[in-house]
Order: sequence, then structure tokens, then C-alpha cells
Amino acid sequence: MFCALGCTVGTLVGLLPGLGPLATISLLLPLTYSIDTTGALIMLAGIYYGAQYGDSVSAITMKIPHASSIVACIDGYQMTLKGKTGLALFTAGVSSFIGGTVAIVVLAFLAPSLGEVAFLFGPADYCALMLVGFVCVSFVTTGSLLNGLAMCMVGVLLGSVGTDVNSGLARFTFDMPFLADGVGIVSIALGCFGIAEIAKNLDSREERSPFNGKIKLIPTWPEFKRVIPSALRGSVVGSVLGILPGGGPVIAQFAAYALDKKVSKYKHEIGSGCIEGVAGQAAADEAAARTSFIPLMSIGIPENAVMALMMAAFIIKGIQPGPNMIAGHPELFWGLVASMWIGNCFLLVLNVPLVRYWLSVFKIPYNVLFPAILFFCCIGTYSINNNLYDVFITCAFGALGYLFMRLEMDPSPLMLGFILGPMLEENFRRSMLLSRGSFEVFVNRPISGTLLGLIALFILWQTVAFFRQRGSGAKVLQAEPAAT
Amino acid sequence: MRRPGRCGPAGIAIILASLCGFAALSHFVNMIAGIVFLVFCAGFAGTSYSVVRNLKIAAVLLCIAFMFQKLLGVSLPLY
Repeated sequence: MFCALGCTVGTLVGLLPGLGPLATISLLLPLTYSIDTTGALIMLAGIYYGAQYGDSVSAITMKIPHASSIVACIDGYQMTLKGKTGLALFTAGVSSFIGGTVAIVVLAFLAPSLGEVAFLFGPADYCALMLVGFVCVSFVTTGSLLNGLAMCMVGVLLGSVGTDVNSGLARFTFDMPFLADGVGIVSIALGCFGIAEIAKNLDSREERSPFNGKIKLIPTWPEFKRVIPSALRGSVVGSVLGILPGGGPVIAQFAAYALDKKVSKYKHEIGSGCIEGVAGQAAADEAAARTSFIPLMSIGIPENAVMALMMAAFIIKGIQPGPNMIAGHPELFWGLVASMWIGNCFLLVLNVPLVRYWLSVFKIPYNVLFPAILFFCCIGTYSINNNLYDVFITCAFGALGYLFMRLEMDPSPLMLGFILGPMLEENFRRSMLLSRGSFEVFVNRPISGTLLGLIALFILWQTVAFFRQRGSGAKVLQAEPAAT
Repeated sequence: MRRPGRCGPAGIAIILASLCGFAALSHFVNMIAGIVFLVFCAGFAGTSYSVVRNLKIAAVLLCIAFMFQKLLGVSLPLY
């Protein structure tokens, strides 16, 4: 019952822009005093992974993303524009189920041993891992690579706004106190994607008719065969990245999308409303949400703010998450694992039939719908910090998003740069402090050395491929006049 | 060949004005005034303008805001 309640509340909260699992869990945390330990933790966990699915609904239908559904805006919304919203939502639901199932298997059988993997990663290794993330820009961007890199750098610069954690100095705050904590990811996502899209929809003066007569929900067998490999790839990527502190669903979805864009049989279609672009990221998002419990339960390290709240819930109930938790409270660990799978099935049963109801949002005339979307954007942005200045920041990013749209610059790499930039900087500075300024630490450590080697090989491969392509193009041009 | 953009600056200007007005009115008056302003100002960006429709939208959004405040416990300075 608590699992069903958590999943339902999480899905509903996930639908509202800005109101994510963090706000909901913090609001419901006091309620856990009056509920038994296992039930309370199962409910809070249900809210978390329920919200991960709910997030993707608003991203796919209205291009209004949360932090963990930014990638769903790319292909999911393109599918909506092609009248395939039902198919996109169904694919997201089924892929989330696959991702969740794979992650639960990982959690059940490998939690104690995999938790120790996180200990193997030092700051230099994280630094190299973040650099791998930056390499993903070339896959995430849908326009030119140069544009993508430029947008990524803008994201890195935006990520450096705020108080420097090492020195305590304010950076790019222009003496404005509300910038001291930096710029929120939700403000950027809602501004660049949501508000810019509303302006575009209003200006196009076209009737939005994503139904095209019949609503198609169930994919055909050939489409389903395309979903499965992509969802499995996303599940593996999400399960691995979910374990690493600092990873989590946000990075996992970008990594899964980048991987699909590189290895999928339909990689050339990704970015223009392709079913793989929805399946991989949805599976990675859900898988990472579940495996992010591994560091918390096996070594007592919360990897993100939601996990920190979950840790608070554990402590409220008198349980100290850590190496002894699984052995000391097996009923709690296995109860949570079992509830996750029940919750996974419940989310599938809850969300797949509800797809038709989510689609009814398009029956509302856009003149009525867009003030409501703006209202949810405002309330969502405000409720994160209870700060009205965040609404002004969202406005500024709305104007910037509109400019990007006019210049045909895809804002997805900006989000990637914004997420990875501060993490790269923090881990780089930590590595430098620990190695007393020696760069050798990046090469000497096996994990970072291997990752940097792979990056170097990848860049070399891309460069060779570029020059070979250029060479063959020149030969074709030379051959054409000779033939005529 | 570059595809020309179809967006004009008027729509985004009205939307941004409505958002800024919402934030300013919520700060200096209360959020009820902010929501009403948001709906009536943003309405100018639509394809048609109707006071009655805007009143209905504002009433529904105010009900949702009260639900957020009373049921979910979201700290909204509504009055």
C-alpha cells in the first residue's frame, strides 16, 4: 500500500514542472514519524522513482523538463510534433520498466560488492569520468559540432556562477546576493526549453494536432525490436552510473543517449523523433534512480540530494546506513528491494493505461493551456528555494532560450556542460591538492589513466575519420569534372 | 541551407513581461495578484483575447495554488 501510494504521489508530482522528488520527500519527511520504518522508507523510495517516470510525461508532451528529463525533450518532443505522443509515452513507460527491472537485479545481487566500487574512484578518476562526459557532447548535439561545443562552454561558465566551494569567493555574481548559490538547473531547463517552446508555439499560429486521427500507443513488432536493445543499453549505463557518487539519473540519461547515437542501428534518425532516443534515456533514468540506493545502503554515502533526504529518513528511524545495514537489517533491505519491483510493476500498470489521459492535454485549446504551463513553471521554480528571484532567472533563460532557437542552437549541450562543469572543476582541484600540484596523478591511477587513454583514442579516431571523409569527398569532386 | 525561424519577438516579450510581473507582484503585493496578472498579461500573446476566459483560467489556477499550499504544504505567499 505504501509502495502504491509513493508511486502515485511521485508520478503526480513528477508531472508538475519544478516540483520534483526532492521537494515532495522533504515535505513528507515529517509524516514518516507516524509510519513504521519499512513502510515509510518504501513510500519515500516510491516517490523518488515514481517521479522519475512522471518527469518524462511533461517533457515529451509539452517540452517542459525537469532535471532528470532533459534528454526526453529531444526525441520525445520531436515524436509529439510528428503525432506520435502516445507511442513516445508508451515507449518511455516500458523502457522505464526494463531499466527498473535490470537495476533491481543489480541492487539485489550485487549491492554489497558494488558499493565498494565507489571507494575505488578517487578525485582524479572522477575528473577523467567527467571528461568522458564532455566527449559525449559530440553525440548529444543535434546541430553542428562547433555549435555544440560552444553551447557546452556556455554551460560550464553558467555552472561556475556562485560561491566557490574551496575559497568561498563569489564568482560572476555581480554583487547580487541571489546569485550566491549559483543558478538552478530547473531555471535553465524551464527557460531554455519550456518558455522558448511556448513562444515558438504561439508564434507559429498553427493548430497543434498531435493525434492525426487515431491514437497509436502500442509499438509495432519492428518498432518494439528497436526499443529492446536501446532500453537494455540504457539500463546497463544507468545501473553503472547510478552507483557512482555524483552520477545519478541526470548524467545517466545523457550517457545513454550518447551511446545510442553512436552504436544504434538507427543512429542517424536519433535527434529527429526516433523511438531509440526515448527508450535508452528513459531506461537509464529509471535504472540510475534505483542503483543510486546502492552507495547509500552499502557504504552510507548519499550520492545526491534526494539520497541525502532518504538517509535522513533512515536516521530518523534509528538506522545508520552503511556496511552493516544489509546484515543488521535484512528485512528492511529485502523489503525495499521487493517493494521496488512491485513499484516497478505498479508504475507500468498505472502509467500505460494513463497515457490516453495524458494525451487529453492536447484537447485543451493552446490559448488556455499556455497560461497554465507558465503558472506551473513559476510555481515550480519558486518552490525550490521559496525565492521569487528564481522566477526572474527563469525569465532571463527564457529570453536566452528564444535567442538560441532563433540561431538554431540546440541547448542540450549547454545542460550537459552546466551539470559536468562544476563537478569537473571540483574534482580537478581536489586532485591537484592531493597530488600537490602534480598532473601525473591523472596518468598514474589505473582508472583515470584508462579513461584518459580511451578519450585520446576516441579523439584520434574521430580526427582520422574526419580527414578520411574529407579526402574521399575531394576525390569525388575531382572525379566528377573528369567524367563530364 | 538555413531554415528561417518562424518566431517573432512580440510573443516572447509578452510572456517574459507576464513572468516578471508575476514575480514583482508576488513580491510586493501577493501571489494571488501575481497569478491574475500572469493570466491576463500572457493572454495577449495568444491568438485571441477574452476577459471571461482569462477570469476562468485565473480562478482555476488560484484553486490549484491553494491546493498546493493547503494540501501539499508548498510555501506560497498567496495572501
